[in-house]
Amino acid sequence: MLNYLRGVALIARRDLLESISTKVFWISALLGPILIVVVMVVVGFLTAQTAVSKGKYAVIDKSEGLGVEIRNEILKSDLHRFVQLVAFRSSFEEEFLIDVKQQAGLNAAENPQSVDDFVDSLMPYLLFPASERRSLPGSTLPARFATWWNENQDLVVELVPDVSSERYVEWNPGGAFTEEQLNTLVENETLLGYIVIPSDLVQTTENAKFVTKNFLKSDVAGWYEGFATQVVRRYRVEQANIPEADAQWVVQRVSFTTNRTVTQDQSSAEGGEQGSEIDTESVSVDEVVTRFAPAVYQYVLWFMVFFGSVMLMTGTVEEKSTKLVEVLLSNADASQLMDGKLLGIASTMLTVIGVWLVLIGTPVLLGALALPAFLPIEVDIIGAVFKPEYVFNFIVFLVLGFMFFGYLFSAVGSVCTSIRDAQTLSAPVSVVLIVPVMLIVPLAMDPSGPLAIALKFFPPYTPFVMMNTAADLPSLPIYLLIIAWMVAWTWASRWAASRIYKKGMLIESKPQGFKGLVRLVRT
Amino acid sequence: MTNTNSVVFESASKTFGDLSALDSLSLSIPEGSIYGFIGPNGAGKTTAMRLMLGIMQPSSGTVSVLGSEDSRSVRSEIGYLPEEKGLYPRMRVLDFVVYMGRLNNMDKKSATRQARTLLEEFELIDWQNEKCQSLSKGMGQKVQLIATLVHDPKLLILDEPFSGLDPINTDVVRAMILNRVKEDATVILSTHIMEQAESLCNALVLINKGKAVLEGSMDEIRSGDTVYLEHDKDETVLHGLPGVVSVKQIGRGATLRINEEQDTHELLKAIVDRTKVIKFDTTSASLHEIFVREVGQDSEPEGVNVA
Repeated sequence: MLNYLRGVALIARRDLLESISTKVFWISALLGPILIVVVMVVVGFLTAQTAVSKGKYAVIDKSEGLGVEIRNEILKSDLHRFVQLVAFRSSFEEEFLIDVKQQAGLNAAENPQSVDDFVDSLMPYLLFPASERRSLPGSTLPARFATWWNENQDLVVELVPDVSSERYVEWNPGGAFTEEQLNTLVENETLLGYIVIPSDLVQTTENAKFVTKNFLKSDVAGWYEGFATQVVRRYRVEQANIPEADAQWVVQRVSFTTNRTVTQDQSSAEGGEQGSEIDTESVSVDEVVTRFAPAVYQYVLWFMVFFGSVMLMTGTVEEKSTKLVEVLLSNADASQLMDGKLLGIASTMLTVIGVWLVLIGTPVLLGALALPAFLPIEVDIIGAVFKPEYVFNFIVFLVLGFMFFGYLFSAVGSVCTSIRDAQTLSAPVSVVLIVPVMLIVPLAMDPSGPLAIALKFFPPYTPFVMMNTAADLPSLPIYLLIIAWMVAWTWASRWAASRIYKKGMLIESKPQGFKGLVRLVRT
Repeated sequence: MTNTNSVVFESASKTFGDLSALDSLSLSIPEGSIYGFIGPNGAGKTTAMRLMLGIMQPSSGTVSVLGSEDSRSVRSEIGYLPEEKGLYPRMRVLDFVVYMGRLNNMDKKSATRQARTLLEEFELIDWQNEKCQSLSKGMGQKVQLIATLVHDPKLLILDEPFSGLDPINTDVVRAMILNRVKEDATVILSTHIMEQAESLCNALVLINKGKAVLEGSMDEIRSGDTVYLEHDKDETVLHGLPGVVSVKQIGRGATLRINEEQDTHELLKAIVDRTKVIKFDTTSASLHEIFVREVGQDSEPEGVNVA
């Protein structure tokens, strides 16, 4: 046994050294995280560009001033977002904002009304049309804030990136324009589109319309509708002679605060007998993060299993191409060679992950440690994500999953003489491996549902499902049973693969498909 | 040479599905000998070697290597040079040889020392730190040979060791084989070059289509106890001839193995009575001629025991 392990270690060490002794490896390992970040930024940027339009829109207002009121509603919304941020945050580089917070008594947690009141006091200085505004500058706090607001829009956008003016700006040429003129501007993409407010919008939305060139990108219309609805709703409430407070109550959304049950152990006062009481408590952000963290673990686990297995398969095909296989097989058992290569690839992957952890993990860790300072509530991100049971589960099922699929892919690689043949022959296994990625969200949403329970016992998916549902682990006996079940299947995978590998590595003809593999196992 | 056998095949057969790669092969390879496996392409030589190495197991019969029927248990005493030679291109020459030594249970220190000695012997010491991919083909073959020898095996199995070598390197390999035998190693080699087999081997087996067509010492194979005959009937007329041990006929040509005491004149008379003789040759044939005779162009080697 010791000799066997010594051989495995030798083969693994050689594979590892050969992989990590190339410049290409280190360049790839070091550039990998940078490329990932670049790709994420580019994809995020492009997604933002395509999902949300950015540009100008025009409004043709046929009513008696609804357009202006909607514009003020948008302004008020932006002010509200910004003031709310000031009320939540405890520190600013801009001393003026600290003054505002103190002087206006802004405190979102203890006094939400302070935000609304301050925004109301600001509106007279900023509202549309400009002729209606109070004059600036002024000595009062709202006047000084309004002046600051006008002069520091860049900082406003920096602090509240999704402020409306950053996305949509109302086009205003300073004179009258017709629909025909706007059609031309829309067609040549000067405008995202234009909105027509009919004269009777309060009564009916029948003639309200949004004109655009690309009807699939109508987000500006949806955004505008939200503000228009609020303005129109006020008029309708007024016309119906309903008190404002009643109206607010009528339109208030119904919401249920999510709580969860908790079982608390109690000992009775008389006999000291143990009992339990079921109570409820609200769900914290920590718990939500804890709940969804396994899904991220599952993705990482899947990534490592899939790419590790494919690397193993291509490495096996390459090993055959060196024509050294016969010598190796005369010096080592087929299973020793297979185990050694599996361990070698695993070590190579761990090296890459180590590099990535240092390059990506450090900033992420620092970010996670710093994040709570920017959040209005206390969150222990590190504690929520790196729970011991998650890390343990990850290690156990990474090892089992990688071995289960790694051996299968090794077997496929052993009977192939080209990477192309190997890709074709491994396609069914690859398809099986793709499914867990598609199941990440459904499993995370219902970790104790029938799908999760059934798939926990389906060996190809056991590692992924067990990882994803780590927040809701079964009882210890069942947990151990599942691990034993997976160990048995991993052993079976190794047994079958070594039978194929032993003969497959000497095959020089084209692979004979799935039946050929079965025949190699049976003979 | 001692009386102990390094390798013994006993009715060893190997089949792949319907294909019989080796059919009931029985032979013994004495310790300290140079034993040749000759035969046309696809005859079963490599399969026989793989059985000796334990890379494959016989479908029936047994193969005993260095006294063990499980050659895996003695693999560190076997050195194998395959027909298709290859190296890890990005590995340094010394590292490669040491790696192969360590796979055969050597510790790093002694593997390195032995690797350097052999690299010196084969005049490759200046290349020890170069990557294998920078070697010429001949150098690469020598490195592979060194890797075969590094653990000082008792049994050397060389599959086409002269293939692709220039005359100088061929002599180097010949010298190495002879040196090893002097040191009591057993060398088994397969080759297509009959002159090499003839000049090197103490004994050999000629395999065709999985069957041993001829087996014995070089003297036996080349001695006059074989008669080559060309006649105009099929081989059945040759059955029961006096002193004839076996007959194998391909087309009009037949090879007759005869007892040493058998008078060839008497035999010719007996044959003439049965068939029209076109050619009757009792001179010692070269291995090349024997090969051509035994295998022929349309070989159907069917050894016929003549009682």
